Amino acid sequence: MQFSLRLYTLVFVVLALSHVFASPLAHADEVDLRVTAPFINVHSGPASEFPIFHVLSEGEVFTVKKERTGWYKVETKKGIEGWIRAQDLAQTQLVDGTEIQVNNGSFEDYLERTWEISAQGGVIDKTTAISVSGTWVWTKNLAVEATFSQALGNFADNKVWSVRMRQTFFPDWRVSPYLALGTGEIRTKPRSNLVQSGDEVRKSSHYEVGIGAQYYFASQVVVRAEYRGLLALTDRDEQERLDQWMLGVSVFF
Amino acid sequence: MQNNSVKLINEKPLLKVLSSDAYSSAFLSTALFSLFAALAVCLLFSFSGYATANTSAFAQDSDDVQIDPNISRRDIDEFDIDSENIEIGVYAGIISIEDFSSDITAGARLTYHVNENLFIEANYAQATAGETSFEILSGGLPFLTEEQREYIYYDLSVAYNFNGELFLTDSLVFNTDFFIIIGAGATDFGGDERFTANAGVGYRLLVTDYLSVRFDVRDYVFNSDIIGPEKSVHNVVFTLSTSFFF
Repeated sequence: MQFSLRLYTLVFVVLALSHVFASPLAHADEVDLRVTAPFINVHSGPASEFPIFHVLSEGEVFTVKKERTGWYKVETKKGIEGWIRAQDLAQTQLVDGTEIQVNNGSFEDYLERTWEISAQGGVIDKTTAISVSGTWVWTKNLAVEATFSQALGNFADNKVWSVRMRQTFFPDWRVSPYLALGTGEIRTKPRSNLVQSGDEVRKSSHYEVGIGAQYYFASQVVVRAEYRGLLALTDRDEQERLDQWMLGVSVFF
Repeated sequence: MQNNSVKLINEKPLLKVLSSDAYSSAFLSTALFSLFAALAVCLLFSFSGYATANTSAFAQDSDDVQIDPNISRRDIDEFDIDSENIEIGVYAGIISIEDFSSDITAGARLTYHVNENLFIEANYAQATAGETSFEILSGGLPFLTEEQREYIYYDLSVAYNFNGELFLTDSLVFNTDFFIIIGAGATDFGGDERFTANAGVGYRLLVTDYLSVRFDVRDYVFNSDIIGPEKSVHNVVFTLSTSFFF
């Protein structure tokens, strides 16, 4: 019963989301461009493996309809539809003769990013942990980050969430070190076979300090490695320290 | 046995409860290591073509500069061309839960296409576990409560796809891809959450540019002590899904 209720909620949310995101799709712009290169290859799909089935010739005017992973869907005046690379789009101009510039996850785009989404794997005190985070890049040096980590051990499962500020010292470097300070909460739930009463979730707030580096890899991908020291504020006499080591990737927008 | 365990929880500092035994951490660290190795290989493959493509684009740029250094450019982003790199979908299928018979499963996923060969995705799905053979044969004595039979699993995965085309007739052609996927996440079952590694293959068919149908076979592996001593269990999931690009 509960199963079907959750399922329906899930389906409803997905349909609602797809509706919300699909509606601006109809209003998205299309733009007419003229080929300035001797020719541009048109592929049957948005990847270099798809065969070239048509060629746009110099001076030809065509319409750009959408973009996917660095490929642009084009339609010729005769109604032929296909995909061209972003690099080839740079060899075109507007119908009025203005040159165009194509952004495609280059290092320059990386320097001007606003959002990052990361997934990381690693260990918290010898227990395998996975973590996801969302980052708002506020200035070149400062970023605000929300992180959720989960460490599932044999005696307990632990969920850690935190909000933190990240200071990047040399934002223009390809490999760029950073320092982070944050706070959040740790929830620990002992394994059900260890405690008779069952769901005893314990919460304690924590402070954390992080030191790490991120490396602009290519396209929209950034590799990230980090150490976090967590200080848990327990209600006992002594505080507890946890070491967390993580490695993962981020994509930026 | 149970009393000892309770003492362990109470006496040990709260967060030291984290540490796991040698067997499990060896298995999990191997799983995690192979995950990152696979990720690294995927990244290398998918960017191998990128470097050469970039150099030629750069050469073209320097030619432009020689012709007219004061040229005015407009950014293609200004034109609000629809960018469809994200896919949202729902799926349903069959999950075979080790020791607990098979059941219908359903879930949702969010996918981000990093480039033409690489995508990452988040999955959330659930099922309700059936009865063990022991429960059926003994006629009674339920092993788990109804609530504990709720089977929830989620993961973050990365996939490498091999693009292709499907020719149904001479004129009816669909873009497709076959992909290998690997990931990590958790399974909440029998009152506990367990770290879960998964791997599998799938086939995606694009009905239109923005609508796809896909078939997945995935193996979810985790350590479980629900039935006696701890062992690693393999739960195989077959799903059919539909998704929208936006």
